[in-house]
Amino acid sequence: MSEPEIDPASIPLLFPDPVIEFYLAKIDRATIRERLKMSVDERLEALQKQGNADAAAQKALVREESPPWPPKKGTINMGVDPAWFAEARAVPLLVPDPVIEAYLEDVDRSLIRQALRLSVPERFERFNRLVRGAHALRRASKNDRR
Amino acid sequence: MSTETDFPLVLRTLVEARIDFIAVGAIAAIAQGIICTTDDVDVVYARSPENMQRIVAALAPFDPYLRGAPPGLPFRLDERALSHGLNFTFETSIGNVDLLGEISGGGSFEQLLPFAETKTAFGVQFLSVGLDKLILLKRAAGRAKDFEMVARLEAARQEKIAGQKPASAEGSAR
Repeated sequence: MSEPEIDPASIPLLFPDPVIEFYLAKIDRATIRERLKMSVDERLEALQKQGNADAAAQKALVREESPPWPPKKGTINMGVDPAWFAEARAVPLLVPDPVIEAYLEDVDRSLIRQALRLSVPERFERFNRLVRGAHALRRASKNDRR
Repeated sequence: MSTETDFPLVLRTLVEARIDFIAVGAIAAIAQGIICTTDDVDVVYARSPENMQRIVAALAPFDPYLRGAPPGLPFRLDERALSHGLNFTFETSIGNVDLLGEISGGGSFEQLLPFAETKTAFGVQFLSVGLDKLILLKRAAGRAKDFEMVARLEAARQEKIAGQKPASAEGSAR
């Protein structure tokens, strides 16, 4: 005579937690059981199929979000004589990296110099004004949509 | 729940509760001279039971909830929840607070402490990770958005080393 089956859902969690229990209630156990019967290769194959299906379903929604690479040079007009920055540019990077060097070419050093002339509290005051402005814009945009 | 972080209030709340933390992320970048925007306060916190008690007491009045989680979760911020987890992204009624027990490239609060500097902002003093370590943390994070920030931080470092900055402007108390 076979032993009575144990309901897996009745097995206590390793770390009891109401949040995990909340999510656990929504778990598709049938799929998990199916996957547990598969070999590792079969699971990977199923994962690949699922990934392909998801990608196909979302294809229409995909839009280009990454910036073009390599970054367009000369799109930011720093409005200063590049020679002015020669001394700083000569300082080697903390961690040399061609990717960072590519980004570095587009960094507006005049803004950094401005910020470095401020005290730390002044930098945070400026940041806070920036954030408050962004919040106001966001609220205005929401109101416009209503 | 507010999605607009009140940065002065969040920092004052953490400091006045005597929480052991080190600011990382955008707050640390601003302290180092990079003015940027952000939606949250990222800190590495000490995992001692006393510090976790202080975190719970400080944030509980502001209804902390797991950011991005569906509404209705039976989540409650208490010492048990903190001790079972490590890194948390919370939304609260005063804004978004990310509590990191460990950070890639920097480790724990204690491991990060030698690289921290005391900074003053919004009338409070707090620890913030130094520039060189911040560059290494951002590199370790390895996200696309971090590369641009690394470049800006490297530029700030170059500017500082090149001696372009007036020596009195730093405002560091360490």
